[in-house]
Amino acid sequence: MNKPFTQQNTAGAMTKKSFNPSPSTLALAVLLMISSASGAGTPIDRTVAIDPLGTVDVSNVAGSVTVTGWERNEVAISGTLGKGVERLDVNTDGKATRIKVVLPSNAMNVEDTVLKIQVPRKSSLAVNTVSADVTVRDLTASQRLQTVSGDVTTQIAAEAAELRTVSGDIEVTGSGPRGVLEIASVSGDIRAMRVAGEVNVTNVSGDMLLGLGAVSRSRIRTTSGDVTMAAALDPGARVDIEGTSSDIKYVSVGPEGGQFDLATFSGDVISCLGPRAGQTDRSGRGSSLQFSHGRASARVRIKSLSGDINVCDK
Amino acid sequence: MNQDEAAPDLPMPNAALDRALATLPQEIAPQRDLWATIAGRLEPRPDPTVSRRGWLALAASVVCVGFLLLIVRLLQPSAVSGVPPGATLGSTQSAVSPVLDLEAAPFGRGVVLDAAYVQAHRDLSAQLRSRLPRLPPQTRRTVEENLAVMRHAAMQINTALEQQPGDPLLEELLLKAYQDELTVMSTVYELTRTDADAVLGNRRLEQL
Repeated sequence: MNKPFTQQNTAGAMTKKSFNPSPSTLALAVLLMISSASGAGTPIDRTVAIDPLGTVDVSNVAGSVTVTGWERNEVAISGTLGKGVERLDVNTDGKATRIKVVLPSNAMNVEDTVLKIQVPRKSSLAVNTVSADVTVRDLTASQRLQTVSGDVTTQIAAEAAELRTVSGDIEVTGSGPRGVLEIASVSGDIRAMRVAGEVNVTNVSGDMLLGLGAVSRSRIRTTSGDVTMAAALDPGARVDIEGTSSDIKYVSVGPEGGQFDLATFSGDVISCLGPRAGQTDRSGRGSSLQFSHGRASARVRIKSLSGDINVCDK
Repeated sequence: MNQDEAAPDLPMPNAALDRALATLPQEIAPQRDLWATIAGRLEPRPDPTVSRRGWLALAASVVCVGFLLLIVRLLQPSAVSGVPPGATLGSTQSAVSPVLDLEAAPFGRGVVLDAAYVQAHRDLSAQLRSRLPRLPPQTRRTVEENLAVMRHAAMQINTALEQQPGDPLLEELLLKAYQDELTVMSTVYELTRTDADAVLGNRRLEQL
């Protein structure tokens, strides 16, 4: 257990000749000083040897979690434990390491905890937070990052990654090699760049900006958020994008192109590729378009109820 | 005689096939780096600033069961009004409910949802209702508003289906809308479980 924290008084030096406060002013100053010192939280400094190929599981409620990969076979934790937090647990059991900010039962008015964690670069990582933001960089193994309202910012390698939020934004940057990326949010905006392999994203009202290279499979689902996606597809790839009232813009990159199947019930299909879209409804609403572009061994399906679909190669 | 040469149209023997496959590269890199092109074609945008296996398995199973049970009996019209028998459905007139409404929306006129799906949806809804109070107020509002958005989307598709019964695009979108709703409910439930575990410090939850 790690609870050896002491409050640090940072009163500093004051010159006696110029400082002659009244008792009430002095009392207020002391109160402010105590409040400031305790509100600053308690420094964290823990280092534990762990399996370099193990898993690290981090749990924090509010504040932030920043995880960085390094070459040492140990986990180092720094940062600040928020006022009101009961303790920071760091447990290692074989390949598994768990870092958890423990709150007292019926905790009220607990302040943010800032965790800065360095882990072996090949560690698998799981992070769970409520409102704490999550930032991850320089890891090469799998990641599973979940938060309710915090934002997630991460770099991923070729391994699998699963990122989930309710209202927090998600920003993920790949490094080129193919992996499997699963993103789910309710209202957060999603930005994924330089990601390759299989990429699946679901959202309700948040917008998506996706820049994908070497995609083998991708399923994008949204209800009302807009989707902008530029993708270079593998031969034989399959892309499915569906929305209800979402506007969807797809930019085809690279020689593969695809066999395109585009349809919207009451919106417009606009494409700078292939023939002009035809209307699907006797009343004049909606449109659909099917055509092939490039090598066209891949398939791209985009469907919407009332949103517009825009496809181009630039 | 070389068997491969004698019968070129026949499948290759396994050993030969293995040898041929072994000569193939494991990964084919693009002839040029396409990333610059990809990035360049996206509009600029301001930068926005492992466990629990038991529950995950349960949540996954609920969603999977829900998906499997989301079988519409297209040839079985409902008795009188288009409301599925045995299903507790909200009014199709109220697009966005001011209060959290997690009941299953109907699947178009004259179409019934499988009763087992409705039950699975009902169970997940009840579980989610028990978790929502543990969310911060703003996040809870976000969840409620977005579930209302999804329900409204299903209603819109239903309305369109009434105008064009049997439209394959609409039926596909509605089926996906139901799947997405289950997925979102499951996701929120799991994330709020983390919330409950952390904020309330309820150690009993860890034993579930």
